[in-house]
Amino acid sequence: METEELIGRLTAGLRPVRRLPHPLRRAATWIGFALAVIAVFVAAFGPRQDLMERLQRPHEVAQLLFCLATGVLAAIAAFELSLPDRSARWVLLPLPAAAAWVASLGMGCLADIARMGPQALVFGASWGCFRFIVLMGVPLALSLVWMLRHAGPIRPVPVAALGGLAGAALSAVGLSIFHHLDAALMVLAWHGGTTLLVVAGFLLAGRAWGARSMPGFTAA
Amino acid sequence: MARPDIPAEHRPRLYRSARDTPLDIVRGWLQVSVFGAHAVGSALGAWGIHAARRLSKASGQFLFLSGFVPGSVHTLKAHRNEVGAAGRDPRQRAGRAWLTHRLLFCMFGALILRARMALPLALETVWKVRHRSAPPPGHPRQYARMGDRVGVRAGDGPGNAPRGAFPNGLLEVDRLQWRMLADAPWTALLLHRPNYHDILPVFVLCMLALPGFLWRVERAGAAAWPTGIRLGSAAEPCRPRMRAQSNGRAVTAAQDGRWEAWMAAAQAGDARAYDLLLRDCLPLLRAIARRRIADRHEAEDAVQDTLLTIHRMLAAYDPARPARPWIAAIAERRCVDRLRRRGRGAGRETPIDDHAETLAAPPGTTGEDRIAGRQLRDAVAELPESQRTALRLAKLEDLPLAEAAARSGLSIGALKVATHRALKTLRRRLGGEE
Repeated sequence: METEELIGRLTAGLRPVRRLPHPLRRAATWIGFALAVIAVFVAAFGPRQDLMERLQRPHEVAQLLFCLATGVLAAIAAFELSLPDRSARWVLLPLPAAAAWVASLGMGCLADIARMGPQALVFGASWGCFRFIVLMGVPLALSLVWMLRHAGPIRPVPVAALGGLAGAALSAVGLSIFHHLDAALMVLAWHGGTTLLVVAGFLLAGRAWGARSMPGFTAA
Repeated sequence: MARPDIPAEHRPRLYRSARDTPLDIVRGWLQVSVFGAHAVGSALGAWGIHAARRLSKASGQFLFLSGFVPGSVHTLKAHRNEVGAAGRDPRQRAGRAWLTHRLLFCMFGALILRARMALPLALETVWKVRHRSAPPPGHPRQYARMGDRVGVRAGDGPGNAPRGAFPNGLLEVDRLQWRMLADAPWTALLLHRPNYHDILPVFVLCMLALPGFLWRVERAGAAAWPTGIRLGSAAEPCRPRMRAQSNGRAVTAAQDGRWEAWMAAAQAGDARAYDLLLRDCLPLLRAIARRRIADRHEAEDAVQDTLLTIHRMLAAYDPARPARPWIAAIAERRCVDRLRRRGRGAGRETPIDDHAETLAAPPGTTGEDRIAGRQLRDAVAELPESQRTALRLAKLEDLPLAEAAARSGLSIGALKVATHRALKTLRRRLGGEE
């Protein structure tokens, strides 16, 4: 088909569209939705008994805040990146918060070792954490990606990965409020590790998404 | 300063020589003295321009040095675009740099504070590490944390520190000069180190000197710069390398927001504006595609991909932002995708050059065409004589109905019926296609 003909057909097929609101506003909408969902789940499970006591400890609060910041910033970055004229460097936005989250967990491990000695390194399985983050984070991330479905032909991989990060990090926040995990090492491994896994899964899925949403024109 | 009466495209183009000797000398001196300050303290920096205002500190010199760089950028931009644009650019850059700096610094500070809280070190250990000797007797064997005010209060000198406190009251937070941050964390929003606030006026003075540079160039023209910036006469034009131009913002300004208005109208469903927009941006799309993709047909395909993507993403465009970067970014993305896809496909596909003769052969010479032709002839041969004649005269020889009727000896009506039946029979025989 000639390009001019294509333009004619596109023009003929034009329908009025509803302009998308500002990315920050849409990000706020999604974050509000995600926090509401997580709050419902936390209310259903009931917060952990020693929550107030834990919130007295500054490093636990810092962990929680860094984790929350990671999720929120990842969502904002995903919404910005979904638009073609935004800088690709938005992808860096959640990285400092994520690094601080991991660092605060690592620091917590060291503090545990200083406090309890080798006992802090006892490692156990916590499939509950894994299940919660995956079952909560993946649908949340999918809802984010669905809101950003127009980004498919532009930057599918980073948008999908950031969506995964946002969903998983916010789920990890919810998890920390009601789940009993005392050793920072366990939190690092199960919260951090599961988040990483979700992000990796969305990275892979992003490639397929991009390939599918590209305009399917061939040279013929 | 700038000449707003001259349209942007007619303004003299700005050429830049390879080196700017006066600026090089200043920069060179500053860098040598930065090195000297690092190497032998401030002995070297005690004379010359940084004798005043604690400029002998290496960080201060970097700050001072960086005052000149926006100067040259501003001068160039003010000439190429206009003063307003030249002013906006450093403001945006400074804002971005400030935000990044803020974020990094706050996280870094928080990490250090948390680290000190999470890893309580005995004061005597700190003492040992710092002084390489055992602490004096009577030193409390207690744990002290970063945030604890171990006997340090404003006005507490080394002499009147409470007994048992760290001698001279110095903690890590004080050694790092972060006491101000520990006491009033909001100061982190100002500058990265509170004790460098006093360098700020120098930086501001550097920046204030810049309009002077500009005025001088404006008045004296090329002669203002002995070997530096020349206007419009140098041998080699400098390629537009600055971001504002490469992603099209400067050009958008020249278009008076036409594309933006058309985009907004297209979002509302105005097909005419949409048509104008797509046709108007076609040269840009083609230029981007040709620059990226050597093959002409492939490049045109990328242009069509871009148009389809623009169509799909129409709702995501914000008319408050320039349209050109938006469109250009989509075009770039589509070109890259196409190249990538071709790179992946190249391993799996085989060129079909060998079959080009078959594909390009004239109709009737391929095996398929011959078979189809024979089938058609057989089918015609099996028709009744009258129908065959009617078909030949009316359809193959394309005679007028009256003449065909006269030649075949049939009435016009009978001829029509015979032709119709013949076609119907053939259709049924050859697969029933219309």
